[in-house]
Amino acid sequence: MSNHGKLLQDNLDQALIEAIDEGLLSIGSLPREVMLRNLENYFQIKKDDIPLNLAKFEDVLQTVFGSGTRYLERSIAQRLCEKLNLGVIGLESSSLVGCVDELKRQLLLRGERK
Amino acid sequence: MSGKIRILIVDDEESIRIATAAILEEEGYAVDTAVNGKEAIEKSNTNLYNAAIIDYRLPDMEGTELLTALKETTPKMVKIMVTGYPSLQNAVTSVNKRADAFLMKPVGIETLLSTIRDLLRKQEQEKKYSEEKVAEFIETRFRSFEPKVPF
Repeated sequence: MSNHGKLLQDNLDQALIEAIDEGLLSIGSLPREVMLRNLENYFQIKKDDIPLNLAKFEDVLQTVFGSGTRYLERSIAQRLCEKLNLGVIGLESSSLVGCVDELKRQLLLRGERK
Repeated sequence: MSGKIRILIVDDEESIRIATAAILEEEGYAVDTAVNGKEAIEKSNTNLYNAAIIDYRLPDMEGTELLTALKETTPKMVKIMVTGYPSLQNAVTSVNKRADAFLMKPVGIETLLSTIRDLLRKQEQEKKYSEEKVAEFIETRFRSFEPKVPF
């Protein structure tokens, strides 16, 4: 990966970690804490490692919250778009993983235009 | 919600809005105001408030109508109804529309502040209880996963 690509990936990962943290906070500080603790205890995924395990994180959200997952995913995606200064991407037909991939593509395009 | 507790004052009388805002700001609350029901609905759609103090008679709608509208968009916001025309009927209607308190004008400063404090304390307790229930639910759901590391 080029230096530019690595920097972009690092920025995206950091923004994603923050967006997930804030998105989970929307259901309360205690639920967020319990969610992150169990994610680490059951799956050995620490908060900072979620970007590397995003598909698994999404699976866990689905199992824990069922249909309520969409609310959380939208909340995370919206925050992520804001942090990256990109237009909000709808999650109607896409997963959180798909949304992050699309944002990464847009970031790359933005980098090429500069 | 983080930071200061936010309170919305809905009253068409400017002197009341200014005086009430000054008292609440002095107590450390962040205050916003609306002159009628429409403005209150618009503001509550775009801002988060912990509480609203609503005049029973507004220029564009009854305070109880506003209660109904706010109940739909911000069900957990504390709603305090204030009236200069106290009657049993007004009080009953307000309670039925889920006002959390019903105060008569002129409202004493200490009465207003203690009512707000009590209701916000109750709101905080309910929030805490609700968060505990969600946390319990998450714990239960995680137990359905097989632990990856045997104990």
